[in-house]
Amino acid sequence: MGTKRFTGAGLPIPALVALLIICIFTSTQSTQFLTLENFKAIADQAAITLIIACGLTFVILMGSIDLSIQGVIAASAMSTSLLIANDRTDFNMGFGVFGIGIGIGALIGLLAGLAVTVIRIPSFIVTIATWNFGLGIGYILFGSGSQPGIQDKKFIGLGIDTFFGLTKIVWIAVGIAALSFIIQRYTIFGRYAYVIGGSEETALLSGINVKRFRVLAFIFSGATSGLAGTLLASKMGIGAVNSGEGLLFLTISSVVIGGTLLNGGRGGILHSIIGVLIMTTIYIAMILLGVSSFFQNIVQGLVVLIVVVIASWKQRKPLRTVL
Amino acid sequence: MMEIKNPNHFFAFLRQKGISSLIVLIVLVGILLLVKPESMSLSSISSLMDQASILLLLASAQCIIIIMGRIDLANATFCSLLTVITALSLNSFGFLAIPVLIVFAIFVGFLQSWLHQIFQVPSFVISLAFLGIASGCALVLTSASTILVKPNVRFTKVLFSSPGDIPISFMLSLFIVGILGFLLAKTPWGRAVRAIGFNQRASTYSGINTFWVMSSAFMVATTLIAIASTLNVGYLGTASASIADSYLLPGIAAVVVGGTSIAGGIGGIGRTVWGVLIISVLRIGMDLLHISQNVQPVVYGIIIILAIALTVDRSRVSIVA
Amino acid sequence: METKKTFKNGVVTMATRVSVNSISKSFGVVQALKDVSLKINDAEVIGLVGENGAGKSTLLKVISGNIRAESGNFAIGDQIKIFGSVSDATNAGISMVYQEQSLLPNMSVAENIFLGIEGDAKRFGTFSPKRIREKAIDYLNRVSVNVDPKSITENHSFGTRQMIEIAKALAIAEFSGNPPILLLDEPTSVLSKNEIEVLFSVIREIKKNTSVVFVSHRLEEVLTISDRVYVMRDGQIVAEIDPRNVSVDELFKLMVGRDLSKSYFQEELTNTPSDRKLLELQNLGGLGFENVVLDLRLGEIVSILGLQDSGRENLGRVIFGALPKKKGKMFLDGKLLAGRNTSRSVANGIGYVPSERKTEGIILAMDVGDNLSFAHPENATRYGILSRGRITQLFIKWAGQLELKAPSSRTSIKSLSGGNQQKIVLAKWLMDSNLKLLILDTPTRGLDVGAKTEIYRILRELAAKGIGIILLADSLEEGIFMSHRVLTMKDGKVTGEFVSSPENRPERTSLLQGIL
Repeated sequence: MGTKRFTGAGLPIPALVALLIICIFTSTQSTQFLTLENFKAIADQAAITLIIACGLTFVILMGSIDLSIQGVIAASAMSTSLLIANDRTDFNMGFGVFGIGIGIGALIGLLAGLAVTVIRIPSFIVTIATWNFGLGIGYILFGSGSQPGIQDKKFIGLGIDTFFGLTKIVWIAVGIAALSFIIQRYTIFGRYAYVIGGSEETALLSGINVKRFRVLAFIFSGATSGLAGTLLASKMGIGAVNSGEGLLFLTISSVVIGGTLLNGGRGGILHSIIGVLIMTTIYIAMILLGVSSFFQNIVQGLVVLIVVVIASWKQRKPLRTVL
Repeated sequence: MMEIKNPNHFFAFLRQKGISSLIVLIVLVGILLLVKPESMSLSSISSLMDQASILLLLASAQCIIIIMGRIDLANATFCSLLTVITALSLNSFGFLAIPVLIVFAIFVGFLQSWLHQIFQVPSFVISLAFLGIASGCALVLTSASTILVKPNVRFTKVLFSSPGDIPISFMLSLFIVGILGFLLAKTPWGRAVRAIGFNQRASTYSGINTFWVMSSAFMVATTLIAIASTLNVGYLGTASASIADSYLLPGIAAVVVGGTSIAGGIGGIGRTVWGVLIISVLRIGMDLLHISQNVQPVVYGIIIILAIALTVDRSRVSIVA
Repeated sequence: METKKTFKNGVVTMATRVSVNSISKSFGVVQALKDVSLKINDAEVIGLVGENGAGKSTLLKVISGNIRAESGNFAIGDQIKIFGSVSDATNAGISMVYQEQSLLPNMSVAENIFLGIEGDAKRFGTFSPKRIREKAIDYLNRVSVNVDPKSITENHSFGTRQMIEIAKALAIAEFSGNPPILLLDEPTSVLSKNEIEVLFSVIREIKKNTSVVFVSHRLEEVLTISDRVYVMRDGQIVAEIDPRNVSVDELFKLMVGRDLSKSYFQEELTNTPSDRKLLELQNLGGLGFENVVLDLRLGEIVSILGLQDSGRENLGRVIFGALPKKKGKMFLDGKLLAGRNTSRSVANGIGYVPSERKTEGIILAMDVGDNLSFAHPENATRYGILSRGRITQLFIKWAGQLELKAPSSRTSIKSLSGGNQQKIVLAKWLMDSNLKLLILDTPTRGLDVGAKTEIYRILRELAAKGIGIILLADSLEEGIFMSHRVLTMKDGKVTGEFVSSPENRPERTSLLQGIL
């Protein structure tokens, strides 16, 4: 019965219910939960994850995966911090660093996409490689010098200055989410993502250029991770190679709990938005409840495991070989 | 005999026999000997073999899984977790901890296989989730600090002594892995493991108990990981949450470079041994070139992609996502 | 017969839309299509009938561009074309409705219909859901399907989805701008009686513009709807008939044709089964079948006849333990069979020959010796270790017994002919000294006459030794002449049970009634 709601771009009802339950539970346990400040904190925390999740969603819809998030962020954050006004180099690109961050991400995504479609290597292997590739770039950029501290006030202000109550980073995230939803609903790329994930064979038979769209998905995913890297540099005020630490699991568990199936073809941006809200709420709730931060990983891993197991149970067939 | 489709018949023949990786190894060693002979001195090789012994076990664990057409992304992280648990239990319970840990590892391996098969969830997803859970558990257990193993329990140090020129640890690993390789190549069980990698459905239709064959392979893999973590504790004398994490990429690289196909069926432990040696020699080379530890994974990534690209058999992978 | 006649210079001609010329196609040694020629004219429905393996499916696949012919071509209008891909065919106006539905379950009906042919609903990479819906309504009306175009496809019944599938094929065919031709491959097997009537009225309506090729096992339906019928046998067109002048029986005789000599099925080797019960099925139910009751005796050959969705395939799989049973009980030699996994069944003395030899029966990447000893490796081991020597001995023994043509046990099984590959599959089970029951799913499909005869001989010898055989037969003849009893199945239920002996063979029409 739940499958009816997991369709095309339908509403992720089970996820919404889960979110509601978590909110109710936490508000009974902690008085701080239902405060405006807390909601702002959730929004702040969720923003970066949401941006990455939007890119990741299209890749997953097509049946692939992108594990390179933290690597792309490393490369993007480091180059951003070194190219905008900082205390280590003389560059001052100002907000042009957005172009750099997004560009680096898109380039890494392009490499991954080509390796998957042309060389035919499974995406989970390719993106582990590009993950390390991005980290490597980050380390090389970091070099043996000191950690670059960003000095551009306006840039750092993105995470502090508010606009109608929410930080600019949050608004950027909202914008990306809206853009992604429009892409999903009103572009061929968005529609075909579901087709390719649903049945690549049918897509090919219908004359769809699957390779091209898959590469595009990886480029978009890389670009969003790149954007996230630039924004993280702003948030943290420094260039750190491990800026993206923990984001891979957080994002994947968000997409998965939102209801987008890992085999592809079902789910979407709306699902991922709710998924991000759920995982972020859990994250904040755990902090409010005094749970050690080490447990975050375990919780996220369990979320992925449980959600994926439940979703796959419904789709299982006898004599089917799953690799 | 297995056929490999490849336009260049000579190389195909070599690969079929598993010799091509041996040739690569010889070439690499040759280059190193030419450029910097002292890097290949007995003492430096000996010290490299300590780490190689751990890589050998982890790569072999991965090899079994890959031959079945699956993957274990939690391989190295689980080793980290077990290293931590080993260190802690050695401090508290002494040697008894080790067999208990192996049983625990076997259980985890079975659980992975069970979830994968019963719920039909892809192995990379299951192992990814286990990776997260394992790394979280390791963090909790260590509270993000380093654990020191008490000196009087550093029994495994003896494993790293070298009565001859080769450390015992390496010979032990080779021995264990050799048994596994023999089982894989020469027993009906090993043939079933490879057949599942070629064609699981046909294997089921021939009466193979795919559930138990696959589960046993996963359990063997985690046992190897447990042994590796024991060696790891002995080698380092300490344990921290992500201590063995960096073995994942070189492990996969060793398997793939050795000549085991990522699609399953083709390959073996023997080839993985050559692969491990290649990776180890490569390490020497990278250190020589002053490639920092942080950047070495990039090289492994490139190697993995190149190795798969050169050996991918188009007829077997039709749809790749 | 109504035809759209064109007047050209005062002479009435019936325009030929597509002329299929001398198409040939073989798979290895098997010639699936031999010099096939036919014409598809304007405003008509062509029926295409033939037994399993006669080549109907292959012919459709060639016409729709899924398979490339080895020789021959298509004349469309005044052009000669060769179809190297599906898009070649669809560009020529030919579109196929697939048996296994090609609709994406999680997308809307409208999107499914226009997948890949969005036309003006697609502009500069953007997509207009509204426009797609408008276009969809038009096609949905033409196939008499009343569903909301933006509804999700998987929520509709099988029958409705089949009609949506037809709407899609129609849209694809018309998109090309060429005179459209629709290929229907067994379109009625999933439809109810009412739905079939709706389908027929839709076909009669669309045939005014769209010519239709109708392939089906259901001969009565073919005769009802078609304007002309082609009969195929052994890869060739053997007759073109006017359906008004031919009965189902006559049609069937044309399909089967050959005068089967007794030696083909080696009736002289027919044995008498023992009285002892070997296999007992009590109200057995599983995926796609239910309430199957059967008592199989030692040395008895029971054939099961049925179409694709009769449930017989899964019945075989459930007995073997490859699929779980849902209801009922199975007993082998009095012992209750749990049927939970195949290795238990094999240990109990059951063997299984699957229908897809290359992908399910053998492992292509392994050599002959490994394939041979795969199910019962205990015959090839020494102290638990696989012994090359013992494998070679096995190979020599069974190559001799089954007249297997293969250079050595190390030969890659890929290089063997289909018949030899099938012999290895059989030998895999025969070497079990404890073999009690052998289940075979269309074992002679795709094999040449010589190989078939040999397989039949082997089955006869097995039965004579007391081994029980369940044979999912490929053709009525195989079922009638090879077995002691014939069961017919339809829609998951056993519809008839017939005794068969050399003196007294069951009537074809009775069998057909049970299947169709």
